[in-house]
Amino acid sequence: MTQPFPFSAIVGQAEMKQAMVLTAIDPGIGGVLVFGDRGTGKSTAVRALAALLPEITAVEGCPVNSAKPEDCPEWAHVRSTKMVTRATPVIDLPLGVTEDRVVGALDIERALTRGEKAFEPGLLARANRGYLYIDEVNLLEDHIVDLLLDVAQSGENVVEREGLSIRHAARFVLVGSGNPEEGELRPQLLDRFGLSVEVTSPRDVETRVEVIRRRDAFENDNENFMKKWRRKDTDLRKAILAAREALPKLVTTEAVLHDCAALCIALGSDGLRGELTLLRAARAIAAFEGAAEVTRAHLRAVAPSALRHRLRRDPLDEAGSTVRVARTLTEVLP
Amino acid sequence: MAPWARAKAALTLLAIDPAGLRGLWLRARSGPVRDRLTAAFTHLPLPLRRMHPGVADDALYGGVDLAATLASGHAVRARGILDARAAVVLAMAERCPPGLAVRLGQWLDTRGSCVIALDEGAEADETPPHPLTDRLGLFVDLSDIAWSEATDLALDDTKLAAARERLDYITTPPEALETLTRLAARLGIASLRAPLLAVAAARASAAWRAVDTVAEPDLRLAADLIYAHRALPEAEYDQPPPEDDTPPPPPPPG
Repeated sequence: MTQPFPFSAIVGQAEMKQAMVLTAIDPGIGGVLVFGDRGTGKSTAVRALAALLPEITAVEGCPVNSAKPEDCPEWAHVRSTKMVTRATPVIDLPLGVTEDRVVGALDIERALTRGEKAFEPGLLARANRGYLYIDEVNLLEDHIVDLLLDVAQSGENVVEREGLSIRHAARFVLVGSGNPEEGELRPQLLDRFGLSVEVTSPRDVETRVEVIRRRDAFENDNENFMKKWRRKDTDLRKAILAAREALPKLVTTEAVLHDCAALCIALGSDGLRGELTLLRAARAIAAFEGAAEVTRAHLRAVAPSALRHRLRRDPLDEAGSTVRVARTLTEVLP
Repeated sequence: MAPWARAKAALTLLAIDPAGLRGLWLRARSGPVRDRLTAAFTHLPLPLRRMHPGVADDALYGGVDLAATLASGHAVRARGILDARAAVVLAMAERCPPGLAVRLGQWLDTRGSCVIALDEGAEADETPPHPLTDRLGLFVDLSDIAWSEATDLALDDTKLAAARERLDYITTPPEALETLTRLAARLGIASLRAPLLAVAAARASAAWRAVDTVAEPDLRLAADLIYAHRALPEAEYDQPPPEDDTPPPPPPPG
């Protein structure tokens, strides 16, 4: 299959699609975690996201997609100063991946054939300025999680192995998907995801039939299907670009900042990251809708995704985190 | 349908469209009955590759061939099992670690290949990981089949080839898609992969019957082979199914 399933053709799953669009508008929100049942199109949505992302300009031949020639790491010996546009990288981090493939390692090929000590960049280098996608993120080995947490925090990958000592920029947006039945995520890792969404299989039969119809058309009548939906994807991509431009001009009133803080205090969410993400996500959705300023309605629209994975466990409250966020929303932001 | 006839039907459909059906979950202890079925995998139109649950990444994806590289002085890469389209036979699939299941699952999603999981699980909950079983269309359990029932499975290769050629030209009426999706929902099957696999099974069945449109016998066979093991126990149904709506066991194809 050469082309991924078009994003616009995904039926339902409004919250998941909204979260993906928001992270495309403002990568600073910090990625999306999609948790839910099997066969609900989690990985389909992530793969489709790649087609929506605006292109980046990078130095030709730079292994870490540097934006300026002077940013290219020394070890890469990039001589070109030509800028090229390329698709925003969306890199898969497979389960059971070894540390050397993630951080990079000694280039065995060159060591064996030319006796040179050179660095072969890993997945983190390729993901710089892009997205790093982990399917079944809750099954990822602990030592890889530790490594990712550190790099995601510092934005820099430091490699000390096999006599190499190098560093390079590794700023990426984490996108993960998984099935909660198979294990929980450590709170430190949860916190690195800006937004989290829960997807369930659609209960309504008509919706299910429509899903199957579109998927079947995608597989068996690919050409016509893609022609129809590619146009919608292009429109969506233009809307994302427009929202990116509108973002800096957006007005955020004191009242909205106050609402953010009040909501996070009422929910007892850990740290300040919740507030910051909530505000950024609200700004992104306001820009996407073409609003002049952020309002309470925008906060309400993004609060569940921005906060549900940051709640402290309350032993006296049996309700799920989605229910708790919804309940607090009606109390604090009537 | 008798268990052995069911196994034969599953094998036939898999041999017609392995890529569409994604594979077979075969639950059976090692023995002559299972051997009879696995011997017939040669009817599949894909090269057979066998692997065990502990297979390493360089075997799956290839890597630098150390000996050849040192000998020739330039980098030589070895090819991995998953580099080409294949029918992968996964032995002792009940021992498959989640990482391998996800890798095989992602490989299956790219289409063109299939996985046959040989599950020797002793206990009911000892099964291959769910990311894998959710993607494999067919399920066959050979536990209760006696050696005398397991007759020879010789399939007609010319007829299989003809069915494969016909596959691209089979039309699926919209109602057929709808019926299969509704049936899956009624049986409490949450995953939306199941109806798609059932559509593929119905198409393969129509191709085998040498007709050009999917019809009722194809739907019955597809529902039996794809849904039976996925359906929730009756108590957990969303809505109680109307009594007359369960498809009776369909006749074996061919």
